[in-house]
Amino acid sequence: MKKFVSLLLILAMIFTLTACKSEEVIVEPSDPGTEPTEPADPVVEKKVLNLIESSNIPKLVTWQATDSVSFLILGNINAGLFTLGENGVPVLDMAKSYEASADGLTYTFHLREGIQWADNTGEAYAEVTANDFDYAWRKLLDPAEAAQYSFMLQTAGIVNAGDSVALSSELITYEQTLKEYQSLKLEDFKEEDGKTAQEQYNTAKADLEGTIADYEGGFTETYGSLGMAYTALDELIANLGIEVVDDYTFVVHLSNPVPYFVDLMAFPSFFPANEAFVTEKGDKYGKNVDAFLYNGPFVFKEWKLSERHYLVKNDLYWDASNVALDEIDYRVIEGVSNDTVVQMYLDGEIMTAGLSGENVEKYGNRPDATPREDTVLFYLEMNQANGKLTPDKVLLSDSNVRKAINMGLDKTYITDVIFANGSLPADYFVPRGFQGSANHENKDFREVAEDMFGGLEGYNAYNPTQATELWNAALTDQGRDLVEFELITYQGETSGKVATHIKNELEKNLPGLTVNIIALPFSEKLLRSKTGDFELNYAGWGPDYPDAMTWMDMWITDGDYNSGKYANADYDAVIEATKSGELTAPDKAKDRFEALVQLEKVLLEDDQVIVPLYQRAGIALRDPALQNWFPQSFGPDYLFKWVDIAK
Amino acid sequence: MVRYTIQRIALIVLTLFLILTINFFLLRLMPGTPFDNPKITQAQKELMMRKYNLNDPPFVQYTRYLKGVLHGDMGVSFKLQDQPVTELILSKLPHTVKIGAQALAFGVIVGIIFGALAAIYRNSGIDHAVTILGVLGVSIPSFVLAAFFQYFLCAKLGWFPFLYSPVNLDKGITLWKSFYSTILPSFSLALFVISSTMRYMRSELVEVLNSDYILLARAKGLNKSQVIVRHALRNAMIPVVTIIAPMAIGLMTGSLIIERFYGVPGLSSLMVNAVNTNDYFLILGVNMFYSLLFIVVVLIVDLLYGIIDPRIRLKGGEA
Amino acid sequence: MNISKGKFVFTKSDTAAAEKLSAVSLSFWQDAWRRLKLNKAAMFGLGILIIILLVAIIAPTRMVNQKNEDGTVYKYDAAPIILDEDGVEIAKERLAFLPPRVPGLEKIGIFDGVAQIEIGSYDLVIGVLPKTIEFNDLRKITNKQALIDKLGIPYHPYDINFKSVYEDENDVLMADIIIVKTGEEVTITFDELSSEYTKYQQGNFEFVKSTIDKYGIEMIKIKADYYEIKNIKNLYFWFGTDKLALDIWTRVWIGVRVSLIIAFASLIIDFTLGIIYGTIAGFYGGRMLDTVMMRFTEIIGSIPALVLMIIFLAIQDPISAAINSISPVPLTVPVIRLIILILAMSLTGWIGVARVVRAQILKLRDLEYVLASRTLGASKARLMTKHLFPNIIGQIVVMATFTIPGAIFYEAFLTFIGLGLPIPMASLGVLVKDGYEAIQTIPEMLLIPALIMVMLMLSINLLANGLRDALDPRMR
Repeated sequence: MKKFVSLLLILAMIFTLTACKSEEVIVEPSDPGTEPTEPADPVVEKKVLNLIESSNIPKLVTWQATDSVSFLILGNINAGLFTLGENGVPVLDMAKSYEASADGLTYTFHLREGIQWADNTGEAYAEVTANDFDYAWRKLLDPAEAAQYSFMLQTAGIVNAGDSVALSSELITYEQTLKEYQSLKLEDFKEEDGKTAQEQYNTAKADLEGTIADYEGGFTETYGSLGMAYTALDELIANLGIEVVDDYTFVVHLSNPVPYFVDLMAFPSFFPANEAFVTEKGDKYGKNVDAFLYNGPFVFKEWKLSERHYLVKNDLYWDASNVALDEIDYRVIEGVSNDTVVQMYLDGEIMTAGLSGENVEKYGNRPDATPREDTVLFYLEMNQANGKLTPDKVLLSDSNVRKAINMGLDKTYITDVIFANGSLPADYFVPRGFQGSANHENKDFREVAEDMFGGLEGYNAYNPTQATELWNAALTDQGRDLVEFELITYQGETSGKVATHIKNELEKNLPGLTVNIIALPFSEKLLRSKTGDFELNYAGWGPDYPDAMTWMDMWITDGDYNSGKYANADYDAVIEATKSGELTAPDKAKDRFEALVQLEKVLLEDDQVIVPLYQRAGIALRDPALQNWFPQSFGPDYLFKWVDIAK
Repeated sequence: MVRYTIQRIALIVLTLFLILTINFFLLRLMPGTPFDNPKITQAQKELMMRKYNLNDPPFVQYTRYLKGVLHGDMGVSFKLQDQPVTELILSKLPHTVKIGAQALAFGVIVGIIFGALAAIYRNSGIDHAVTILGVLGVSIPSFVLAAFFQYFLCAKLGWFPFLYSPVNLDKGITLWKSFYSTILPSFSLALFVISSTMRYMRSELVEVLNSDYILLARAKGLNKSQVIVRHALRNAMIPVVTIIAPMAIGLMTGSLIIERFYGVPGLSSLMVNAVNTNDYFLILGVNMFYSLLFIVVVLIVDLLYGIIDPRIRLKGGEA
Repeated sequence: MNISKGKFVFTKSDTAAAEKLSAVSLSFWQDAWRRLKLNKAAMFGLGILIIILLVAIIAPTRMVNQKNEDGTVYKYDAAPIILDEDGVEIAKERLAFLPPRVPGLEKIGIFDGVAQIEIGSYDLVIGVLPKTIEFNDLRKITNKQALIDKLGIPYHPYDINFKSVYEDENDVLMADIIIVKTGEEVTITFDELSSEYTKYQQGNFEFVKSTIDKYGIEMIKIKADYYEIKNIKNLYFWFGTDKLALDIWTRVWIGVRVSLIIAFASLIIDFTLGIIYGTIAGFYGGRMLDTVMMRFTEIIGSIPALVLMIIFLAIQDPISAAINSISPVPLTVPVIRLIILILAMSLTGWIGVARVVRAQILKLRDLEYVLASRTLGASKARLMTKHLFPNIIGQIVVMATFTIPGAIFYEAFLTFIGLGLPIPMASLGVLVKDGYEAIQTIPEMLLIPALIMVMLMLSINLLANGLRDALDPRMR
């Protein structure tokens, strides 16, 4: 026994010794090996911004990037015609001036002259010219690139962009249907619901034949023949409404006026790329820091997967003299826990740390905590007609049932207890602070809604008593007593909590209801929402462009995101008018805005298509020394061009 | 022996081929595509599928993939900049190996020492303490231990850093600092290794100490410590070696939660992310790597058994 | 001396009696049980196991804890419904996120509903302001003066640091503060110092210490009595509640049940499959069949469990149809999800068992008694079932007890990835994960389920150790 104790003592000593030693090493001045490289005379200390990132960069190519991490990096190492400043105001970047025609259909950009692309070492590679924009924009439509963000060209209203995206989409769907038709086999069908396999096979075959004939008929009518349709597509792409007048003049033609066109120019999908370099690098382009060119405020110096993103100032950037930061050093830790991030901030390892969970309550009211407004909205979609028609879906197609769900749900609990980070309970769909109207004394969308319909806070507010009444009445109507809903959500901590709260509330306020929460992997959830294998669907939406249309056009009949299959011809007609019809004229801006406000009322008060839940917000701790830190709601989250560190 | 080894290696190749085939087709059963995202349109997705040739009949894709594998090309990741799978694995492997190797080395050494002490001083206080520690060690899940460490040693006492930091001299992270940050993750994993090794070592050594040849050595007049060091320990340790290999695999594949807690950019996080995003080739690549490891280790263990214990004849295959 | 011959009687040589055992005959199991009883550690493990099982059976169904208004027990998936003195339902918010509180124990300072937390001075002095536009504007750091004017308090919390907060001789709560700008020390009543919106008042918190971090910002450590703050002093949540106001006492014991169900179900599947497979492979050891069977396990073992789980979730509908068609009672969706989880875990779980069984059989099948039986013409099936299998049952029982902890860990692992049980079902893994997230505020949320998990594992391991010794024929 004695020996054992002494052994333990020895072990304990070894441990304490190592612990002590480590502290000594930690307090030691900087590594002696690095000292001689520092210049002898005292220079201004470098301004290094230390940050943390919890995901890797999926794609470092402007026309292929689709996610916020890629956009964040791209927005800081490349520059487009415009960039975004404080409050998201577009500021000239690579363009030194621009003119818009009176009808709002032609934009002429004059580029800064003599600005060079820098390579990874900071050496000049070539001049940035209008051709670089032309090249990169066309890449978005190149079928070989399969660029997902090609729709941005369409959003910008560029001549032929919308048509080519639509036609290409039609052709692809046609090809897919054709393939499906060719691979249709009798053996795949089984007898079901009293129909024989042969019958089902015949129905399916006839359906597909019908669709194919429709497509072919359509193509023949518009383009003459199927082959001509393909030629037409090539022509549309070739004749995209952009034009290089000379090296420094770039003209864009729009098919209809787009009020937010200039804002879009700050989006990374519209950034330039040097054709010669892209061709030279081939497959390697954008896969490592040497295989990329930089015309933005920073150069990507080191990119270590799951370890580090290291950016240094680009001296060749046109506005380099106004860029205060010398380096941006991201520590990359995938799926890092919030406690760790906060601890790193408190230890001074990073200069800003988002707060979530318990940390919001703990640190949310410190003077260095800054709220961040966001315009992402989470909602419940209700399946009215998608997939196999079950009694539950019939029930949900009753708008009173949908209202009961909305009214029987305490949303403030989600925002105040589960998140407690400034997220707002939402009975509305177009978020607060998303878009103002110049024709309504710059009032916010919500304030205009208040003036028109008293819809500041939205429609059909929390009212459990009325919810119970509506619900009971609807159940009696349809002769139901026990109802079971499947609520599909993503896997993840917060969505699980929100779903549990919803289940708890609905089961309490709507008698006879059981809600089964099904947390699913990402792909599977999307698949189920597409095929309609759900009753309630927890989803979120972030805007693609700063116009209420990005919220309202989701709900057109058979829209891609309308997985509940809401259908309302009047709604579709107003969307058509506001999107590309009569209301798009510049002098109709006021009517258009009001039409959109009214659409929201139809969507939420009259039809209660969805149940809005909350508008997301965030709180972050930020070193008071950080200045000009402007979070952006659109495009890259932060533009470090403006940021400075006070000494 | 040689013939047997060659036979087994041939079988390994066959097994790996079958594993690859089965997993290749199994992955196609996973719902969705690598390009799923709430905002992608059907037509867009189709275009992406075409770009990566994922629309061809499965068999065509399979033969193409197999051809690539034979040329040492494991495909690219769809989600991480189209990087080659082999490069991704190689970039993550060192971190996993570092934590795992430290845990293994520490665990095995401590386990052998304690196990030996327990066997030598049988039924003494040490023996009981070791038994208790052994049972405790297998009863505390590594993630619970890691959570406690983070709470007490990092948050409350501030003795250790929260995070693993890879060596980075520009940022002043020296080899020592980096090592210091690996202590907690390694130790969280090591506890299980310590207890298993300890229990195994103890029972082996007890058996050896009771054997006739030790009695003979003692009878010939050798003193106790000489007998233990020269004869008993060595013989008891040989079988212990055979359990190290499976434990090594366990450490490499089962460290996901530890990697998450301490921010280690390791292989198991790579695998889980790949699975969650349908990154087919990456899943296949990491999985092949794990399978290869597993099968090779099983082979080594089998061969070692034969070498160590002549009583086990190899005609019967593995013991 | 004449002794009559007749006095001598031949004793009968009673061979039966000679063979008669003086001790009571014990079967294999009786003997094992007798020796197990002698093993103190094992009996200790067994005792704990039985206690945990009993509590897990009783606790969530009987009213050992408090009850909802309608007299039912708290549910693991719904917030309690309790009325206050005025007969108004207590809002869910007030019941959410409470530290453990047990009557009796609270007197000695543990499980007393108090948590040591760190808060900013703003939370202590100002509290939660109403969400009106006016206050939103006042909250801005530039409007510090306007805010304190509005609230009628002398100092903005950002301008002062706390030295201590204490009750003076008249039982008035006083605060010693330092004004940052001037360094001046002021003593003031806490009532005067704090706004009407703060939840901290005399009697519901205790000042511990104040620290100033490297940004010059003050954080205050206090002991907060959550039940007092939320004005529910008459309630007791033995293990506390979580963010969704779910009672953790109920969830823990439901969690123990679920974890054990998962463990036992996968155990049964693994062992049935593993024993059959291993016995066959071992019996044909060294031959083609054995090689093929063993390579097959390697192939199956190579399938990543995560992928399987995702595929199983995707084909949930056909699986649930299949399960429902063989189940006598219609099963609910969560139960089907549970079954899917067990199936996914078992698909590779039996391999280890098969390997061990095979190795044992390999060892046994060349022994003389098997050879004898074989020579006497026993069939292969008879050899396997009558001679080989009964001899490995000891090892199997031991392995089984060791497998249970493995299954529970594995479920926890899946939970951490987010692929585990259906929400909001509880298991020990789920609770440990939830607790990990709350560790900084209410460490008990992690400590309690983790401790119960460790106790469960420990008791099973101790029992397994005892069983191993008791069943080992060499130790008889």
